[in-house]
Amino acid sequence: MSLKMQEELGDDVTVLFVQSQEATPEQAEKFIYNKRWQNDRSIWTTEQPFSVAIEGLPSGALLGNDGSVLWSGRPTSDHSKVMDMVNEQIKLAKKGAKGMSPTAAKANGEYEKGNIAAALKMLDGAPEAEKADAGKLRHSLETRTKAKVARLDWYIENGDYDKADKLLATLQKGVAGDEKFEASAKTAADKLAAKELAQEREAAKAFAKVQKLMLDGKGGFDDIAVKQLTAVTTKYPNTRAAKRASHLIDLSKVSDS
Amino acid sequence: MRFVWIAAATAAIAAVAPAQQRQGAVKVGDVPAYTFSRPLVNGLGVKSLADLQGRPVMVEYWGVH
Repeated sequence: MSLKMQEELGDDVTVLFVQSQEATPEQAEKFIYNKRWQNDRSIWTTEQPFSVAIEGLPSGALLGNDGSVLWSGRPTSDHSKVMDMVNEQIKLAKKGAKGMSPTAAKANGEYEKGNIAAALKMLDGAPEAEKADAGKLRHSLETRTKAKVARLDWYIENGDYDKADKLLATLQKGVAGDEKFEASAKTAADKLAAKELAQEREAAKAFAKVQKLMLDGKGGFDDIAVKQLTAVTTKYPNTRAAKRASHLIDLSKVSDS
Repeated sequence: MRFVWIAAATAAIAAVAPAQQRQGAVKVGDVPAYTFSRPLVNGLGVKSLADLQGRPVMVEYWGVH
């Protein structure tokens, strides 16, 4: 259910999968590849951030836009109820929470359109009576923008340059006029424009092809995939793609249980 | 002797304990806080639950067996 939800709603929802049986992180990651569940949006972990006190799997919890628990139970039994709640949260995120002051509501709208600097400026200029509400939203929007910058850095560090380029372009446009976030975007832009990255970009494309084969084809770590991963490590030594390919080769050797 | 055993056991538990212990069972209205101690698979720069605020988060518990 959650994979389908992620596919349908894209970045409007985050799905965090928590492997809660006794498997190592490596076994869990290998399992995800073998099942072809890996995608570019869902996040996976073997650390349980909290318990939902429900026997059996799958189980889960839905956190709202503010991080509070809205529901916990079995996702398969409560599918339509959960989907309604998720859609309601997305609607609220875009329109602004109920009872928001006029300035905060307007700033939230600007932020949702991608105009980050304009939204922050609007909140800084909120009238005295709306300062508390504006300050609360500013803190939240800053945290969300930092998360966007962190995602951009993650794309760069993991050699996902196409996504990094796209996110950078959106971010640069949105933060223009905000000194702090402009500096963060510039740091990322400098990294992406570095000459040394030319080979990294080529290596990333070669790695992406193998990864696609593992996820779209027969799936998993068959001999062909391992051979192609090895070719990436040989052709592009000391690149991030080679490091990722080596990691997958190591995973192929991990016992399934 | 008993004290030595307890001290050794406590030290051993502390050595393997994660950086931040997970919380107990959550209920509706709680705001769970958690910082992950290991990198997440396809982590997208996320280090804690707080990094995910702003949009709904579906946390699904699953198993490999």
